[in-house]
Amino acid sequence: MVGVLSTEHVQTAAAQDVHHGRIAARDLLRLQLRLKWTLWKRSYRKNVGKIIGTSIGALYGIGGLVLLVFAFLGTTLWAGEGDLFPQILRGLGALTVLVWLLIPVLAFGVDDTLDPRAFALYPRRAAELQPGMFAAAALSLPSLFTLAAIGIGTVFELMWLVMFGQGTAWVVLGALALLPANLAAYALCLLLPRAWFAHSASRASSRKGRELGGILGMIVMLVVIYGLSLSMQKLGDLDYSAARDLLPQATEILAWTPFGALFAVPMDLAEGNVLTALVRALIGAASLVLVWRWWRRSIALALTSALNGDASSGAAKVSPLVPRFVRPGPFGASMGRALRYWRRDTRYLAALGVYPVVIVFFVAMGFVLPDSRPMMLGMAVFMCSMSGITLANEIGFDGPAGWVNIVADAPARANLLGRIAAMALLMTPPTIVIMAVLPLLYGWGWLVPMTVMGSVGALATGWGTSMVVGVLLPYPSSPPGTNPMKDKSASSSNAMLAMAVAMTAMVIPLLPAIGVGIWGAAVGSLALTVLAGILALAAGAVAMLVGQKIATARLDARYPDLFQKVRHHL
Amino acid sequence: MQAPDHTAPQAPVGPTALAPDAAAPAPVTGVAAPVAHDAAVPENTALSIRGLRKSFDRTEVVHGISLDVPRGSFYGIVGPNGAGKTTTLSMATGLLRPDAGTAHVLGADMWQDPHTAKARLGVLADGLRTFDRLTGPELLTYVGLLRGMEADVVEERSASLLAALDLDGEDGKLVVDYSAGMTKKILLACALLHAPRLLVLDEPLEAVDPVSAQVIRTILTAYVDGGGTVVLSSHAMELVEGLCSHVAIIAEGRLMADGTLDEVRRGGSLVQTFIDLVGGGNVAEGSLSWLES
Repeated sequence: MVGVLSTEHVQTAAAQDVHHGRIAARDLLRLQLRLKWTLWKRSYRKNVGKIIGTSIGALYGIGGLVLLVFAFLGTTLWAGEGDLFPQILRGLGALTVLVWLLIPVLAFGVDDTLDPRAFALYPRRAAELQPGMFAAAALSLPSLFTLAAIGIGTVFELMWLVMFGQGTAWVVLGALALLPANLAAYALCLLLPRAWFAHSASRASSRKGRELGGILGMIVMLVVIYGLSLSMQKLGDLDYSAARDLLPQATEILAWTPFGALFAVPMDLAEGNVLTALVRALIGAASLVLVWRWWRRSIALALTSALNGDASSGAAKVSPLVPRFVRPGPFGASMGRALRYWRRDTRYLAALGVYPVVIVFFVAMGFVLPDSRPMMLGMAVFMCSMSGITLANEIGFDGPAGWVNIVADAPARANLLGRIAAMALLMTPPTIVIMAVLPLLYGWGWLVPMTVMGSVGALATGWGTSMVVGVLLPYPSSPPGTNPMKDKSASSSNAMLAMAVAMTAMVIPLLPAIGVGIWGAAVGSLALTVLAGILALAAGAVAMLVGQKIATARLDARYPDLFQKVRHHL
Repeated sequence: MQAPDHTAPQAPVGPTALAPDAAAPAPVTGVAAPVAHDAAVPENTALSIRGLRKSFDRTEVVHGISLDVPRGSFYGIVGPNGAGKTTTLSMATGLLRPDAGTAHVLGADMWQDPHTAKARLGVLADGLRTFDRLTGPELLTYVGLLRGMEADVVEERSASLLAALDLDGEDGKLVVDYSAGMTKKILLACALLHAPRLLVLDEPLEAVDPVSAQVIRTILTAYVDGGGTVVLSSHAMELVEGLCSHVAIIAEGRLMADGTLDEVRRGGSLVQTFIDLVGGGNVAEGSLSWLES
């Protein structure tokens, strides 16, 4: 082969490198930042829901900052004494770092706009890419709000040093350490979740493992939130002096961990605790270095394994698609498929994990606060109807797979009712049991007929409504396997509209039942509560009947058009 | 060195840039001329399309395509990316409502009588997910039962299709965990399950390994030999030339030529005819010379 090439060609073919293999670190960083900024801006294009969501988030953020200012004012200037401020600052600092780690890990994940795997084909090492990726990580709203909060904290720390500092030398030392320590803590906030996720992504995990892990994280987070909520309700019964002792202890412990060490350093110095400050600075610095290196190692792995992470998920249990008690046909096929999806698609499976947590919360809340029992009972019934509208975007959940139904000429009625039947099979028995047991636990056995009939009626009303909304206002969803907490479709304006319509349409038929139920419970009339249950059942039956007719007609006439609306997952 | 093959595509020598053709492609005249929009729908066609039009965001992408696919033919539709092949096939198979025009499947109007048309039609769509949280056998059962087939017939045919397509060892594997080639094969099985008389396959061999591709070719050829009709779209000219009896060339949303393979290629190669009709392939001398240094 070489023999047929000219000398020039041979030289070209033998060249070992190209002339543009290097880029200055600063240029690369600027390039990555610009890429992140461009992609971030474009993610808002034609995405009204995201703009609204971000605006609401920003308003909350601004509100939080204002509250922070008042809280700091209250513990410095207005208090007239400075004992509490360092404790609060250490506690808030540790909490900030913990929240930055736990919320992404347990629920929402991190923004992966600059996924290292996207750089796998370019001749850049992890060490070169990392600074730019870190800078890009800082370019997000939560990061900017955190930075602003740290800025506010720094100003108040400075004020506190001037007003309450113990001697000039300590004040100067504290002031000198203030900015580096706080910025280092901010850097740790950005690094921790990224290092964690880069590490998780670099492991060759199975699809199933990743998906189930996401749901598990979400459920753990809900349990923590509900647990905290219950604890807060119990605070009234707590011994305040015990709480006053407990919180500083917890803060002190956290300040010796990587989460709280860096934020604690300036205050330690200002209080004259040089040794403590030094050790904590060491803990913080070591944490930063270790996390930075850990992240770099994972980036390096990602750069050489861009296509990893899809290891085999094992074999599913082989059993007939159509349940044994259902006749094999279009309805049975639709039901069988839906049942499989309830088990194998986290978008559905998450609901099965979340509802028990919520129900347990209602029960516990009723015991913690006996006065809230009527409210908790009402909320439990409401949850039943809410679970009914889980199916309000079934066509959107099918997404591009809808073509299979269209070309197979799936009968619209069977297609819709099969999905309802699957959910009914999964949800109705536990609903009946829970709604029979809950009033008994609260000592209101006479409400059982109403709660049972009411919840089943609410479920059915939700299903009837879902069928209609699902074929009138379908919207593109995230693909199967998506953790619901990370479902990008939930914040779209289409989703908000569809859910608002579904909830309104679901509540209206139930209003008579709700009214009679409240009346009956208030006057203690068994007859009225039973009537309320019957009214709810009737509303459910009518909603199912009417909903099924409207939805079938619409799906028969417009399935290809609905499919085109949702044919791309988000 | 091998002697130059004049039937093979004449690839440009050396790295060169593709220069866009200034002139818009024009349909051919003569035996391979496209069917007139107002031509009557013949009775012996498997698929007849008349004047299909589609616009997206007020831009028309398919400009009144008409074509007839004879029964028993192996019909290839070729065209550059974005030519409108998938859009046309989507309208013909009931997945995309046309702005104008009709599509008849073995005499049944897809948009007026979709139940009859779909019963006679098997479709393999390209680039669209399926219900991939099902296993292969479950997906086949699902599709078969949706079509109203008897459960035992579905089971029997599924088993033979899975065996023929070498998927019978993957019972517990979800389709989402299939390779691209396996996914194509299971979708082909879904399209064949009800033994339709017309198969419309969008890029059936893309991303399929050579062994699987040969299996699919064999199955499709046997299907046509048995009286079935296959319409497939593809970028691979060699595939179309080696497999199809008829061919249509689509460019910029218009039908440029259709007819038997010989009528369309007019004694030359299909690739050259394609390039002549569609344009492009011209090179600006030296514009990529930096690649040579």
